[in-house]
Amino acid sequence: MSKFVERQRIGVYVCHCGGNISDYVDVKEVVNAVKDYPGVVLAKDFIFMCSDAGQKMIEEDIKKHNLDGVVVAACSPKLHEMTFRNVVTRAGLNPFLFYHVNIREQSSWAHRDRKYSTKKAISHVLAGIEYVKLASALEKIRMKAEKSVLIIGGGIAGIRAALDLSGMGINVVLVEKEPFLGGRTARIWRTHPNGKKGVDVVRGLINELKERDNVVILTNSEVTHVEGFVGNFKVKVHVNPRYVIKNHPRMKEAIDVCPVTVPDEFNYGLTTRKAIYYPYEGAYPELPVIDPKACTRCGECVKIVGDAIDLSQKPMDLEFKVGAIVVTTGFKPYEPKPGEFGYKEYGNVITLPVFDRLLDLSEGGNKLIYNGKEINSIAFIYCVGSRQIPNGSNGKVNEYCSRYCCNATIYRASQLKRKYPHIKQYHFYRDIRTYGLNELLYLKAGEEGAVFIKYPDEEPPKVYGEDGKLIVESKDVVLGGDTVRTKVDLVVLVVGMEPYDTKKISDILSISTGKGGFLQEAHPKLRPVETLKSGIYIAGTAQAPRTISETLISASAASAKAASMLIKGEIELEPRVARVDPEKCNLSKRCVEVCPTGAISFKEYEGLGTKAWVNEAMCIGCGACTAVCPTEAIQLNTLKTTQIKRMIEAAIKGLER
Amino acid sequence: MEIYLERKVKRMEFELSERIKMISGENVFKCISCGRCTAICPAAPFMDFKPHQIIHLVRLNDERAVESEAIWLCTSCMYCSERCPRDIDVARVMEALRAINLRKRKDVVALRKLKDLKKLPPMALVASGRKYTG
Repeated sequence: MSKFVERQRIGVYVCHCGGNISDYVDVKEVVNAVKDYPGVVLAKDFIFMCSDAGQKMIEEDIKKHNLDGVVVAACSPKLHEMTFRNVVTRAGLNPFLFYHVNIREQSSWAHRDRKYSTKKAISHVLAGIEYVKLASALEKIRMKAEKSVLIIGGGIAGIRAALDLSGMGINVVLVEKEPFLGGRTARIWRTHPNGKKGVDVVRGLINELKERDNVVILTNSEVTHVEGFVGNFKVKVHVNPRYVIKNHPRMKEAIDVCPVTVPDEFNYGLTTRKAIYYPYEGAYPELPVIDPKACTRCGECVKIVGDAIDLSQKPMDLEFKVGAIVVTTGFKPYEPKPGEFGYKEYGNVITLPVFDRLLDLSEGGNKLIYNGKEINSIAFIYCVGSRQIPNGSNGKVNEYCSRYCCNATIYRASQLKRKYPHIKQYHFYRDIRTYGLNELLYLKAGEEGAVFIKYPDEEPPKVYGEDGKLIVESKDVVLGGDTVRTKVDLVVLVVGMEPYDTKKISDILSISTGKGGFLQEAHPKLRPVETLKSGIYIAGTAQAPRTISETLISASAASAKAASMLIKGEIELEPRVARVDPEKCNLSKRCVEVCPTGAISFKEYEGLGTKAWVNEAMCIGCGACTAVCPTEAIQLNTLKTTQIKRMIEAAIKGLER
Repeated sequence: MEIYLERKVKRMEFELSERIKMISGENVFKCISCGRCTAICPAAPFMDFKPHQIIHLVRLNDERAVESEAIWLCTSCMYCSERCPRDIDVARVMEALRAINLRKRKDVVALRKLKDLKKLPPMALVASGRKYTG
């Protein structure tokens, strides 16, 4: 480690804060106590140090007395640390040779005893002086940043983020695992509040996206590897073959001639599709895809469209350099276990997403037909796969509320009433959580005649068959636990959201997952779309259960955050990072284990061999590595171990006075 | 106690909620089962079904609403109607239920067959008359 040059010309400034401090701390005594302390050249007090006069005083003193370190004892550093750093910088001193001591929140506001709080303030100021003595001058870390963003997931959040980022002049690579964009939103029948179809909502955004020339859309692709750090990520993308190379006027015939028929996963098996297919009208890209699992390579389609289809197409591996990554991998609907509420046991028990497709496919008629039978009554069972109660035997359960389901179901109830007024609806619920403006939906659905029956938390309804009809049996909380039974034609299980492969994506990006397995943000309020790894942002339902509009809000927020980081083409990072002294490092590798961002790796040092090395762009300055290093080889730039020791010693000395 | 929500199982001659709407003009489906009516009702402690349960029974098309004692304990003090956040006139619903019950003419007093009319208490006669016309 480089030798410390102990600073010997330190100026100490104690603020009155207009009585906030001086009422309970004897400011004059603090000044007297430190003014003869070794290394201190001058000590002053002032009524408001943050005022123009106070700032000017510090600035002039630094120049006049040639100070090489400054300690300001005042309010919380959250409030004015930046102010004084700027003062010090203006006077030509390095801003990291300044220390902000908090004697307001920690001394004058915390204690009634004037004597004691004065003593405490003195001890803190002495510690601050010791800090500055050993502080080293630091420069901000500047790095060139790639002006492009990778978006993982081409659902509505990914498309929204791509639009926002490309609009700000940033190049976008949009990677989607499925052969078509649109994700789950494209499967929604009608969206609240204007009744627009999910397909139309997605299509509206895609039409905008089509006109952007700085967006690369990769469908049928997966991100396999990510390395690097903010501003300079290296990303590997595996592109599966589509087999259909270009469009052809006779493409429709080629689809019709395909001899293979398989269940259509877009409609959850309600319809069938060919091995070469479009999932739905208006899907994007406007190019069919061949499902390699279903295709028999018979070549019938090739006979019609010729070179528009290449059955020998190989997968590709592409590599990109991007500055930031936005993760919008979305959710998957909860899949009830066989037998849970009669699911898979009785044919007419379906989940809400399937019911949505059924409604979409039944558009046009005035009858709702499922499994060849007309539906005249429906029972909805809420909270399936959400807010589950752990009881030891049922393993890992989803204890969270999925947030969208009450709104979605009740909106559908209302729409159903309008379209099929003869259908009777029974809603078996635990609690109705139509929060915010959606409360009006609930009231409306009730007025229109939907029957709501509250079942107890511990005893969910039972579903069983009798004489070819389904019976839902439940306890009714409002009637004090009486059993209510109803015969219905269809049972719809209102299923919640589950994280979709977040384990895999969090491993690739080395970001963390939180409650329920969703991706975790850095701070729920202060940094809601950032992850602990700088340069990686999360949005949409990959982060938490959300409605469409909430998803879009978070997608726009994440893209704004990513853009604000990259738009200058250069990234400025605080020099609050750890550094390794290769001479001391004994390769214990403990720092690598504890580092939350994976910033520490190994590097060849000249003449010293392989030793630990910190990637400064990835380091967040948490100090976890410094605590575990057995040889004190790894040190935080702004808070070295020697500094901490000296500060503690000085603080104790201050209290013993 | 078990309730079958379908008419086939437990036959009601009409959809109860619709009949209530015809008589009183109140839509019981507006109810959110908050229980404020029960909380304020001075007669609730003595009722077999509390006011909010009566409303729920009507929604479920359950004839126990009509047969309950609660509707006769209701004094039409109108506290419940005053307090309902969804503006349901619960007292009117109660009155409608009484009317439905009376119209079944279950134990009508045949006045002509009564002897010694003058010895009977006038209150009882008036009450039975109301049952007759209700």
